[in-house]
Amino acid sequence: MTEILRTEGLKKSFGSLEVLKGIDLSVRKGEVVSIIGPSGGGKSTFLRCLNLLETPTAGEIYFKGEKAPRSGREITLYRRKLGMVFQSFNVFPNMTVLENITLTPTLELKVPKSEAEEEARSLLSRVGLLDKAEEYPRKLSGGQKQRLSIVRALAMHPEVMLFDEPTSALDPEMVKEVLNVIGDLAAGGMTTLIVTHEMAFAKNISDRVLFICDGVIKEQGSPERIFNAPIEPETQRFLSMVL
Amino acid sequence: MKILAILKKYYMVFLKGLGGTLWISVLVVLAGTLLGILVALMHMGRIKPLRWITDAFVEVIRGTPVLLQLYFFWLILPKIIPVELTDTACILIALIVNASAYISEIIRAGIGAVDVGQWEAARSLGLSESNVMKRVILPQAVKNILPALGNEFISTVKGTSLASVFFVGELMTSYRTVQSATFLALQSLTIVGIIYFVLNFILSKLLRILERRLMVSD
Ligand SMILES: Nc1ncnc2c1ncn2[C@@H]1O[C@H](COP(=O)(O)OP(=O)(O)OP(=O)(O)O)[C@@H](O)[C@H]1O
Ligand SMILES: [Mg+2]
Repeated sequence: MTEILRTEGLKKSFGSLEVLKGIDLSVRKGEVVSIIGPSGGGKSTFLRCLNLLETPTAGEIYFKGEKAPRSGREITLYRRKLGMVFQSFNVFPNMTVLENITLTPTLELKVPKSEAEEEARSLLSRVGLLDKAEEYPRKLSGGQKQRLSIVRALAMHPEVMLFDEPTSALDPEMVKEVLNVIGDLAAGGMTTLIVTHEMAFAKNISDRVLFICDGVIKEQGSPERIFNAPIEPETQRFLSMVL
Repeated sequence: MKILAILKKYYMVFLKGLGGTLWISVLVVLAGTLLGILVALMHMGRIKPLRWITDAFVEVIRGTPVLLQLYFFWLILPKIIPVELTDTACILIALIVNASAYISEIIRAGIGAVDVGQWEAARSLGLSESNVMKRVILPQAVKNILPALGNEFISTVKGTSLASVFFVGELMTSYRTVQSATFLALQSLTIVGIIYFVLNFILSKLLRILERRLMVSD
């Protein structure tokens, strides 16, 4: 039951627009947390603050009890502890599938090339992409690109995975193959925060569901409680629209 | 017929002019690219005063005629630089400075055209800022930059003609030389015009091929 990630009074403004209005959250090691909520509520901004793609305006982030850095080289080191998967895949088009995965481990962790490639191949076979190792991403479907972006993050051995609507840009027939990979990861004990509109999936894999709306966690609880007996009117309205 | 006669007698002058135009253009684009990279880095960097200075520099160069800039450098460089400078050196420096402003904008636009998601993904993996740039962004930006740089080369070839005002050895100066020796302005001009055209025609065809190569690898 050890805590791995915690935020205290996390705030973020863009100019005069306050997007996050004070988020307090504690995530246990191995916990799977789904984040749901209406568009513009600040879900993406929250995830992006967690790995410092956005600089919080106020508040603190603690990773294993240690304050997240504010500037410089420490940010680069800090980000390696968290893997991030984006809605738009963001695989590197100028590299092969294999190079996408080995780039950062070889450059930044000084893993020998052969070793990095061996691990990359075993990651690829885990997600059914081994036969694509030498291809360029333009030859991949959306679902394959997203699976690649997941194993690319895993190659850095992160302790937490952040997913921001990983299936929202996918054709319906590809959603499942990506959700399966994420589900396997979560079941394997990876601490996971996932923003998703796949309510059935969230219900299945989550230990906890957060409803984020207007820059705050309006409501949170077990998936059964949130989906079957939401208390806050905003949560009820949101769920009645998406379910 | 007069054209052939001129060519027969003065072809060496035209060839020398062509050679001059070529080496000046190559030098200007190469040096202009190096300087342009520096300007682009300062322009995009975090240091505010450098950003203002480079911004003003680019605006001034783009907002004033090249010929005026040539005159300006030709007049001012000998005054501020202690060593003896030839006219050719002054004009070269002016052309390089001019090209660097345009090329820095080409580089900036090329980098700006890379999807922001690429920056974010690279950073989120824990790549250092310099590796994000070197390994992820620049290789993609080069595909945007190279074709535009080729166009810049072609406009530099044409731009060097202004150097003839200062009798720097290039094609347009060849025209002036032959014209004043033969008093056959129209014929000399036609010859030089054809050389420019053929040169740039070949260059732009080469560019097209290069562009297609780049497209294929994407
Ligand atoms: N870089 C930015 N600059 C200015 N405003 C921003 C920026 N990023 C996000 N915002 C604003 O912050 C608010 C919250 O955005 P965010 O992307 O976090 O919402 P979200 O909950 O992820 O929504 P969605 O479900 O549509 O993805 C929005 O009003 C958005 O316009
Ligand atoms: Mg979002």
